[in-house]
Amino acid sequence: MIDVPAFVNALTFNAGYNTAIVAMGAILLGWAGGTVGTFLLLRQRSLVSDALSHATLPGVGLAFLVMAWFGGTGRFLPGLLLGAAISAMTGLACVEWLTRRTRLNADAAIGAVLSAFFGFGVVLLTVIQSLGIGQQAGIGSFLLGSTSGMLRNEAVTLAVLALIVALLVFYFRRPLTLVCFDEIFARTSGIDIRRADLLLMFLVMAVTVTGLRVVGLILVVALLIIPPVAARFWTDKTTTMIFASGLIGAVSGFAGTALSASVPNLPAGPVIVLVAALLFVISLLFAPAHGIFYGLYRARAFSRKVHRRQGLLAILRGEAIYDSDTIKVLKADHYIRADGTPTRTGLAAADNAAREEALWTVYLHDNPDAAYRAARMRLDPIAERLTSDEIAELEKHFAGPPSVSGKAGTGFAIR
Amino acid sequence: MKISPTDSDAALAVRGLSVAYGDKPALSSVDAVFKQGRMSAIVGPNGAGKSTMLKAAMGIIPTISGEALFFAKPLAAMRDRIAYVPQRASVDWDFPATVIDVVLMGLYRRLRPLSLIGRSQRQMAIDCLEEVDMAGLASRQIGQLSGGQQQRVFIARALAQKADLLLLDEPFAGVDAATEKTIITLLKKFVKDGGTAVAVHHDLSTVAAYFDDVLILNVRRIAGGTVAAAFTEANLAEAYGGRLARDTPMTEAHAEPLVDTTT
Repeated sequence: MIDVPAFVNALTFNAGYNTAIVAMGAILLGWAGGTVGTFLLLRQRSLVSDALSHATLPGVGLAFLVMAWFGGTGRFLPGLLLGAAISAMTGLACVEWLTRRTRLNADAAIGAVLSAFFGFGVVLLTVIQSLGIGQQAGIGSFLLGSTSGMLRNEAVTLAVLALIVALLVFYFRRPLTLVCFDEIFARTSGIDIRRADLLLMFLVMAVTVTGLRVVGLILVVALLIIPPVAARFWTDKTTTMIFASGLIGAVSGFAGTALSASVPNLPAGPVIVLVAALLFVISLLFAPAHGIFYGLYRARAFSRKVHRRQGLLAILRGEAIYDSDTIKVLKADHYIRADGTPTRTGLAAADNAAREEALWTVYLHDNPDAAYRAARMRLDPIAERLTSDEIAELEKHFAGPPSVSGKAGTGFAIR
Repeated sequence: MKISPTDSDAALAVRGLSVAYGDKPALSSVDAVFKQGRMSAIVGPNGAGKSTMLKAAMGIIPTISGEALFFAKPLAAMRDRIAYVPQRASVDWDFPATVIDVVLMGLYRRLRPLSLIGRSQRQMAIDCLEEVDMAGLASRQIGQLSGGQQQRVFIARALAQKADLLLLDEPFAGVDAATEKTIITLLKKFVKDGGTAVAVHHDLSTVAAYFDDVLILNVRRIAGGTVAAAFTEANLAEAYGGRLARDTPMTEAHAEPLVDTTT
C-alpha cells in the first residue's frame, strides 16, 4: 500500500534529487498542458491533440532507428523528441489537408490519421524490439510513460521544455484569446489567424512531445483536455480560467509523481491523469460558478423565494393557497399554521412582501434598463439591493407610511 | 460618376472591388467613397454584398480585384484608426469572458505582450461601457446578456479602440428599441465630434432619420451620395426589384409605393 513517509517526502521534495527534478518537471508540464489546453478548448480543437499525440509514435521509432544506425544508442531523448515532433507535424498536416481538400469532417480525418500513424508506430516499435540494437529497452515507455527509469538530464530537458511553453503562452495570451473568441475582430486587429493557429498547434505539439516520456502518448491528451474543462466550472473569466487550468494541471502533475514515488510499481503517467480526473469530478460537482450542486442549490433557493413571495401575496389578498410547494415553504417559515391560516409573523411578512413588490414595481418603471437584473433581484429584500437613498426616493411615490394591518394594499396606492 | 479613391476627405474609398464566393459573385467592381465626419449607410437586399463589402475592405475575406483605402492609405497603415464591429452572431457567447473582458479586447493592439492591464485601462473600459449604459453589468458573463446588450458591448469595445472610423455590420439587427436609440444617439455624437461611421443597414424606414449618406448596393453599385440625392424610389426599385413590398414604411419624401405589386 501507500508508503506515507515516502509520499510526504515526495510532496516536500525530499525524496532525492532525481525525484524532485521529475516532480518539478511534472508540475511545469501540468501547467503548460493546462494553459495551452485552455486555448485549444476555446478554439474548439481539443481532439486535434489526440491525433497529434498518436502521430508521434512513428517518429519516435524512426528516430531511434536512425540514431541506432549512426551512433549506437537510440535512446538519446532530444533526438527521440525531435523525431516525435516531426512525425506529429506530418500527422497534423494530413488532418489539415484531409479536412480542407476532401469532404471529410475534422473528426473523421482525425480518426483516420490517428489510427494510421499509431498503427505504423506500433509496427516500428515491434521491429525495433526484435532487432536488439541500440539499447531498445525502455522505448516502449513512450506508450504509457514512465518516470522511474528517467535520467537526470532527461528530467531537466523536460522541465526546460515545459517552462519555455509556459512562457510562450503568457507572451501570446492576448492574440490567442482574441482568435479564440472573435476571429473576425482578431483579423481586423491585424492578427494573422493562420499564424496564431500554427502557434497554438506548435504549443500543443511541444506539450505533447514533452509529456510523452512522462505520461505516455496515449494519455498525454488528458493533460491538454481535462484541466481546462475542469477549470471552466470555476469561472467565467478567460484569464482566471487559464490560471485555474494551469493550476489544476500543475497540482495533478505534482500529486501524481509524488504518489507514484511512494507506491512501488505505480506508474506516474496514469496516476497524474487520474488525479486530474478526480479534480475534474470535484469541479463538476462542487464548483460554485457552474458546479452541479451549486446550480441545483441556487435553482432550489430561487424557487423557494418565488413560492414565498407568491404565498405571502396570496395571504395578503385573503386567497386560498393550493400549491403544495408554496404551502410547504410557508409552513417551514412559520408563516401559516397547519390548518393554513396565517400566523402573526406571516401577516407581517405578507405586508412587507407587498411593500417590496410595490417598491420594485416603481423602481422598474423608473429604470427599464434594469429589467434583466431586477427579475432576479426583486425577490430579495430591497434593502439588500438598493441604497437607502434609492429606497427613500422610491417611497416618495406612495401615499402615507406602509401599513401594518395586513389589509390588502392600504398604504400602497400609487399617487 | 468617376470616383477618385484619393479623395482627401474620404475615410474609406473603395475602388473596383470584386469579391466572389467560389464562382458566385458577391460584389462586382464596386466603387464607393465614405466621407469623413459623415454617417453612412450601406443598404441593399439580402445577398447584395453589404457585409461582404465591409469585410473585404477590412481584409477579412479575400478579394478578386480592387482596393480599399482608409484615409488615403492602405489598411495596414491605418489599423489603429479603424474599429470594426462584427455581427453579433459571429461570436461564441458561451466563451468564458465578462463584459469588461470583451471591452478590454479593444485595447489589446496597444498593449505590450508583457504588460498587465492596470487600473487606468480598467477605468477606460468602464467609461466606454458607461457610454452605452452598460457599466452596471461589467462583471457579467457575456452569454447572460440580451441581444441588445451584447450589441452594446461590441460598440463599447469599438469605442475603447479610440478609432476615427467605425465600421458596423448590422448594428441594429435583432436589438430592442432602447438599444437602437442608445446606439444611434452615440453614433451621432461620435460623428458630430469628428468621427466617421459606416453601417450596414436593413431598415429602409430609418435611413433618412439616422444617416447623412447612403450607398445602395445589389452586387454592383446602384447609387451613392447624400440620402437626399441617392435614396430615391428609382434607385431603390433598381436595387430591390419586385422584392420590396409596397407597404414598406418609407420616409415622408418616399411615401408612395415603390413597386406596384398588384399589377
